[in-house]
Amino acid sequence: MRCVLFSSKFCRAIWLGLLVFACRFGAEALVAAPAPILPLPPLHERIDAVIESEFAGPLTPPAREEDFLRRVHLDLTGRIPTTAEARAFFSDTASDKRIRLVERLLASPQHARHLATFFDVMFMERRPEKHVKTADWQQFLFNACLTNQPYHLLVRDILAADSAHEPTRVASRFQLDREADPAALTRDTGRIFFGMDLSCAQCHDHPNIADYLQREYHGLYAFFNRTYLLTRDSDKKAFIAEKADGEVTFTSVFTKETGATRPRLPGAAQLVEPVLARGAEYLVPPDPKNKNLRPVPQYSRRAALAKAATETNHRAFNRNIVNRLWAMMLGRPLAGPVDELHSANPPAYPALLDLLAREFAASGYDTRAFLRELALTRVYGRSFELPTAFSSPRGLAATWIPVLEARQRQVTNDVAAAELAVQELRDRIAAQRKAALPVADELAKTNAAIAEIRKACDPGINAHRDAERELTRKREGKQSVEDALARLAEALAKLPADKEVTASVDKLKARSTELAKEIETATKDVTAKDTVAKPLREKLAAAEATATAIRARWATEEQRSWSFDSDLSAALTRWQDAKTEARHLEQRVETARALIDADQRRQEVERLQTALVQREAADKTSPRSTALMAKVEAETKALKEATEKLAAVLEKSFAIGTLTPLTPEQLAWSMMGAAGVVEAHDLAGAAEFDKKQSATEASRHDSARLAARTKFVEQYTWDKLKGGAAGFAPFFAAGAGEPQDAFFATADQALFLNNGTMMRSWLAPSADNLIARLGKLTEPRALAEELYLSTLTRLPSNEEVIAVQQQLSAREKDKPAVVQELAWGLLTSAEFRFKH
Amino acid sequence: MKPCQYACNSADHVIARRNFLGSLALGTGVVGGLGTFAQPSVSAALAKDQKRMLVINMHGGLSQLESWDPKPGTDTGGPFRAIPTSVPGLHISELLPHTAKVMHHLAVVRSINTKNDDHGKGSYMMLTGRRKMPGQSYPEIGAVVAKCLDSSAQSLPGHIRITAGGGGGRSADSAYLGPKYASISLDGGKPPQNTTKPETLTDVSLAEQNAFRRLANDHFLSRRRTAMTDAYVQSYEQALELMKQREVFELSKEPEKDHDRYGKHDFGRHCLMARRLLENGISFVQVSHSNYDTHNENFNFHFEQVGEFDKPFATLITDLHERGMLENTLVVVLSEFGRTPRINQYYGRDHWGRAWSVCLGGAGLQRGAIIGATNANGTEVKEREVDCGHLFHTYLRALGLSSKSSFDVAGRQVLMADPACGPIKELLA
Repeated sequence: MRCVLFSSKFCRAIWLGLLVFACRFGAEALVAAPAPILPLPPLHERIDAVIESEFAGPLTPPAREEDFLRRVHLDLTGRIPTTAEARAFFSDTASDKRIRLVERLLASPQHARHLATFFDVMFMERRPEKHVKTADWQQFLFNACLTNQPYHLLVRDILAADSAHEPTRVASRFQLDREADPAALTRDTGRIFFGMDLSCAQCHDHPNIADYLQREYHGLYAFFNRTYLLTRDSDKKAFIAEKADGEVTFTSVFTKETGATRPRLPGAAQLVEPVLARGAEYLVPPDPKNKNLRPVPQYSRRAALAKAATETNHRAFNRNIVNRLWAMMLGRPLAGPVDELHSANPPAYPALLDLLAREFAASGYDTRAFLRELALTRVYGRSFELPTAFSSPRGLAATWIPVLEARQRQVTNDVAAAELAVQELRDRIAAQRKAALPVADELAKTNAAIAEIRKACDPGINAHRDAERELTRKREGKQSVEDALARLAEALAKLPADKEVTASVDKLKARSTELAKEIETATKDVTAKDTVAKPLREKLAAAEATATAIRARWATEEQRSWSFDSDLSAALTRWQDAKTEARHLEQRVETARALIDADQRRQEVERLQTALVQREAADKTSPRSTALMAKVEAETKALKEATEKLAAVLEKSFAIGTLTPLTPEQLAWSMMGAAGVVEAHDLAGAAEFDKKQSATEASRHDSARLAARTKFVEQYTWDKLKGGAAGFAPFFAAGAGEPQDAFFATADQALFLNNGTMMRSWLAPSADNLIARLGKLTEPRALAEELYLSTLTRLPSNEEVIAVQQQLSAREKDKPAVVQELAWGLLTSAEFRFKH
Repeated sequence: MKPCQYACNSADHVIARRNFLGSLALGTGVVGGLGTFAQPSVSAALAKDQKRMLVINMHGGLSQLESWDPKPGTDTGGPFRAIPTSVPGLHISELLPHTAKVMHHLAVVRSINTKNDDHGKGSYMMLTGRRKMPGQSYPEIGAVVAKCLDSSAQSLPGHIRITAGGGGGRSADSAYLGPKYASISLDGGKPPQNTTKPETLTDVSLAEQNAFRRLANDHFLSRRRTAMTDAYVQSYEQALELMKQREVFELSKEPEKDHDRYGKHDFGRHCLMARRLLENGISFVQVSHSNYDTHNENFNFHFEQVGEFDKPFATLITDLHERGMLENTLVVVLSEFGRTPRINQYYGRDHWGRAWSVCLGGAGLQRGAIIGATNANGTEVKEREVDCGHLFHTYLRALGLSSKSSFDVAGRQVLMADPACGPIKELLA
């Protein structure tokens, strides 16, 4: 058994070695390598393999244990660990304790809550409540996360949600609270689900981003162009409504080029849409006289978006979500900003982003499993501290440059070839358009002629149709009257000679007779109108028949144009991929250069400093020594600049960890956790659960009961504290509808934490909260340990214990105030504010 | 993390750069002073040439006919007369006798056509200089001013709205410039939220808790220091500074005599507060005066409202001038739109964006200028038609900013003002 295990590990090492080798020397080496038949290593190992093979410099060592613990708690549950959790983790000596921790956290309801908040902020960007209650929406997301609903199905629910069907109305908040406005939906769908802010490509191809074309904007827009917000007059309730017609055409305000498009996902072919017969377009046709009637099309473009986005393994859709989940865990995205993915702004590791996108989709969009893999990578566990030396342990940076440059030359050719292919296709499309013009003209003429005939024929035909409808209505009415009479007969049997009932029966009988007459008249009317309508229908049918041939010809032309268009999408993607690769190689060369530069500068500074020390020992006043000092100074300055550049490179390459500001929710819940507010509510919640379902000896350790209890407690505490937590967003969050990943620090935030009543109430001693616990501790070291462990998830250093001791002994009588000051000082420290 | 770098004199660049240099604990003996985060206190004497802006927002839509562009004796003119002002040839409504005496410091633009009759859209247009488009939002002038004119040493917020009440806290009017430049409301002229120390917090505790915070920061930042950590650390020093300068928001510190001069009603107090804030170096102040939405009884309401506006406004202009501040302070009296020349059956005037006026001055704008004109009974613009964009360009230029420059929003260049318009050149000195 052990032998088998060993050999599988051994194979994995070989495979990884091959992968590393392949990545380092480019794609052709990968092709040349023999196809491995070995099982793939787990995703987290493949993630590290990509980074460690592509990055030429030093990788920082793993984070300290306490940093890792705090980080993973914040990332997976949105709050810092309790002292009990911290103590348990530190005293655990098993080698798999990190894996167990990650899995325990992922299974907790707190994780579901945290992920639901992440999705809420991602989808709604803190927009105010409009047509759907925010609390309902958040609980909807929570339930989805609790059951680990696959991401693509969640998005499908959101995009396809029927706002008129109560159970699914909550999911339609994404669209309803954007007022179902097609432009806003196009912009935000592009940004939030595909990682592309196409709004600047509305009136022309994007002026700065070559990949964002007007055809892409309008392709996405075409999913929404038939959508509108319907507000019911009676109660002002809003619904998403959709028409069955409306096509999208566009003209560039720069080049005056025109285009037309059916719905299209970014980079994909236009959708094939059903052709519906005249009159069959709607399930519920619109009524021009009744604006309150919500039309329901037979074919919904919005539903088509939900389906296409989530069922076609769409690359941008997949890349977008893994990039965002990566940012949630690693503190910055692989490709940032998260809504500006394109070839001139490639991900730090394009191969990695594609790997993640592929694997996430292949896993059935299993968010929980994906986050588990990210948490287990070495890159996730890296320290945030800058390394003290820059030379790669492998000494590779210098030797890589020529290899990378050779590869660059080849990729430049690939880019040129791909561009040429795009140009050729564009020419062919232009030529095809020109060739199709006469057909289009003839079709237009034929259609116009038919429209004339239709105009002449329609009144007669419609009159007959209306007469028929009227007849049906009358017949149904009469039937209803007959039914009512039957019921009244029953009543009369029970209440013989009842005056009121008898009167009603007489009245209805009279009406029934009248209706019979009316039906007779209406029947005659229908017959008369049918006589008129019949030749008209035949005339119209004959006219329509004349168009069959030209319509078929046009269909062929259209088919051809769509096929070219789809080829163009594919060619554009190839071009973009080539450009991505070129830009990526450029960045790798820059990285290698920055590494070499910083390392050389550092060596030079060290050499000069040594020389200076020797010189100074010999003779302090020598003019040569002064010159040397100036040189050291200049070199030191150069080193600073080189290192500044390098720090950015290291962070961008994920060679070091980073400091990430906590989200408003992470900050609020962590502060409440540290102060002991959360625990107090958890205890109250648990007591309430036990009161409702008192445990027997048998059920006390029953896992189903415990799970239900955990879930109950989480919901209890959430309900009690969410209002307070929400108080942080107005200070710490970006504006509603703005991207939520911008950091800013303002005085009003500090004032809120300094003078606000909320923080002050948390710091008042009560029951067993932090301040009360500290108040009971008399020994300074014990007090300092409880304080630091509660707030900063670590034990204090000796200096810190001394500092605490000094504070306490200086104002012995003021102990209650002193412990509050200490706790406040740590809760507002940078160490608390930033995930590290 | 989106890079948050913008053009135009911003201190952000400087801070980001300085801190990167500070973050390199490399053991080469070149880095030091990690414990020094104290904010240099703001000099009481402000630089003479610091530009500032004051907006008086006449909510609901001030009638141009009962203010800056009277048409007495015509079918649309209403009952009020026009009176001469300190500018020869310039007449304004008789409802503004005090203002008439200070018109030589001001100018009027009488040819605004915003083609809009909607409150929300009008307000957006007049404050952002653009038409509202779905899926896009632009920062209001106050956020732009705070962004571009605030000095890095500034600890007071740069974008302040004095409102009659309600709301509170930070608004979302800074769009892509970020919350740092969003307006802070002084509700009912009261000081900003949370600037009062709770009674339970003693001065000793305040000092000690901050000292302990600094100590903790020194420890952590020796492991890693970034532009973000510095900004965070600094925000507490700014808060302390703001608490120290809380008196800036205390109107009671103004002499009783001035309270009398400005009038003891909300608008008078708010104007006095505006003077106090501008004097203390706040870059942008907006005072609101409600409510001019006079669909009924337009004349009675304007008689009262404009009457209330007149004296405090004229006093403020006089004071700014006498204190040498008008040279550098742009003052604009605007609305979301004007009111219809046609008088409706309720003696009211309705929403009207096709031919209306604003009054503005200071910051070197031409004194006593009259820009544009409407026809005899004010039903259309006769010459020099301008839109909200032209005004916005003009504001920026008066404040010494290039109205053609852009903000760098996450790598995207966004023009500060609508490129379809330009400034009203004849207003610029």
